[in-house]
Amino acid sequence: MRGLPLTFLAALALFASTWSGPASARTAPSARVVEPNQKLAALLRGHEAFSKPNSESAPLGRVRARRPLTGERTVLPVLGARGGWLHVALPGRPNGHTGWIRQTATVPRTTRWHLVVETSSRRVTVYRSGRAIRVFKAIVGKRSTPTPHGKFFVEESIELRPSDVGAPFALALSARSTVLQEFDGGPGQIGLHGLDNVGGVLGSAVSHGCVRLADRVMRWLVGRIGPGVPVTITR
Amino acid sequence: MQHFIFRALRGRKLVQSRAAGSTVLVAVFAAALFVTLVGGAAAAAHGVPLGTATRFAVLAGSGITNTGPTTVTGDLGTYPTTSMTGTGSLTINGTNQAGDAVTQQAKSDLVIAYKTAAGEGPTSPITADLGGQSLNPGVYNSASSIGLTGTLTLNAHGNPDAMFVFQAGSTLKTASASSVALVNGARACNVYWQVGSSATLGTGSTFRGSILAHDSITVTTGTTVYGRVLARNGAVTLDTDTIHRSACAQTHKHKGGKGHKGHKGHKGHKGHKGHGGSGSTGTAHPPKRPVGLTG
Repeated sequence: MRGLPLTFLAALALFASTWSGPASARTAPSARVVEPNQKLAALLRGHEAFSKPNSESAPLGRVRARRPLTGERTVLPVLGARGGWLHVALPGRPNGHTGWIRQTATVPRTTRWHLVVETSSRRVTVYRSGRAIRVFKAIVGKRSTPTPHGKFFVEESIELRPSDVGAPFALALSARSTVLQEFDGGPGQIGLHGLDNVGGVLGSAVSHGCVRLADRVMRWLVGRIGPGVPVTITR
Repeated sequence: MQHFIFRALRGRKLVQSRAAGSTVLVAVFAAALFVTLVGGAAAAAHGVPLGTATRFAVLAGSGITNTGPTTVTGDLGTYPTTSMTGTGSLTINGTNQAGDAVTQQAKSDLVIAYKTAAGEGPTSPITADLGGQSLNPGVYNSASSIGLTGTLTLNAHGNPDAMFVFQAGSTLKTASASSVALVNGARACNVYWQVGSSATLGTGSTFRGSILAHDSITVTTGTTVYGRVLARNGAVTLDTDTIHRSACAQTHKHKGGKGHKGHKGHKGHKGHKGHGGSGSTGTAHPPKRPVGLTG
């Protein structure tokens, strides 16, 4: 070890600071059961969501066909189906709420991807086909503005401008802060984003609730993770 | 808070040696000066967290009645009485949540917000009609009613986060053609009116701020509200009005989608499609509006 060049050690330290290595090197993520596939529904038009699979049940509000930030088509995880109705996860408050929409004017999709954020260990594990393939160090919410726990999904994939907070990319989630009802003009929306113009030390808990990742990790993620991909946030 | 400061200083004084007596005197003098200066201005107000009620422009406890063409920008809901009349002439730029779970949660959050607003302090007393006055950020309290005839000016002195909280022990009543004006960076999203009983906005008035009323809210003919009308227990009555929910725009600069035209370089992401299964593979898009994630 003494003979290793300092530059190599420095490079190793930098690498370790952002990437914890293949998931196989860690035991905790592999113990988690993640479904190999997740059914999704892309909305071709706005849908009324109901509490039960019939239009006589309590209305839960309208889900727009396109997401507000980018105009991307809305894609929702499908939790079940019954008689022409889809049980879907819904974006926004209350966190993790679900409802039923009509199957008409939707397009079925699937994803093999799944993200798991562990706030206690401050890391993000990427699953493909039920197998953990990457683990990344992250910054999570501080005690006063914690990252909310629950089952969520990616609402939108956003390419930010270089001057934007959290550039270069953000994955806006269906989760909302349990503390901040409004933040910076938005609804307290939780996202995964980069470190540009905001900073922080990976592995710490200093954010307002968002999950910050190294810029190169975000570039890796946005090439693979799109709307509808499930995101589980646990302790 | 002032009481606490004096107690703390007194406690410290007990353990000071005589040699440190002059230091204590200076501290006491500084504290007294601070109290004098602060006491002369309105107390600093904190924000009133509306919770899920934030998205609502109109929220009621015992129904919503509308007459004439009224435009509501923001959500609308009422619970536990879910009756709505005159919705045919309502234009809703938002969602009619009716009495659904979203409304019920918002009503619950409204109670918390109401109590938070009522508990803000220390307060500056207001007794006379607010018309013709210019007020600085702070918490203003009337043990009975608050009236407004003419124009009330709220001056933020260049601070866009400046808060204004008004507490009325009983009613809030504005005269016809009265208005709330905002100057020097004051924003309607930072103005709150906590009303102990009911609020009535006079004909043709222009009102700014979120009304959190214990009972009912009546918005008479031709009134424009930049804010919210949120009634805990009573009804909301509208008549040919415009209710525009105020949301604080973000303070750092975004210019929407401009400058994003040159993103052809991201076609390279197509190469990842094989990883994602159909449809869920990522391709980031530039935002069409300010993003505003929690950071």
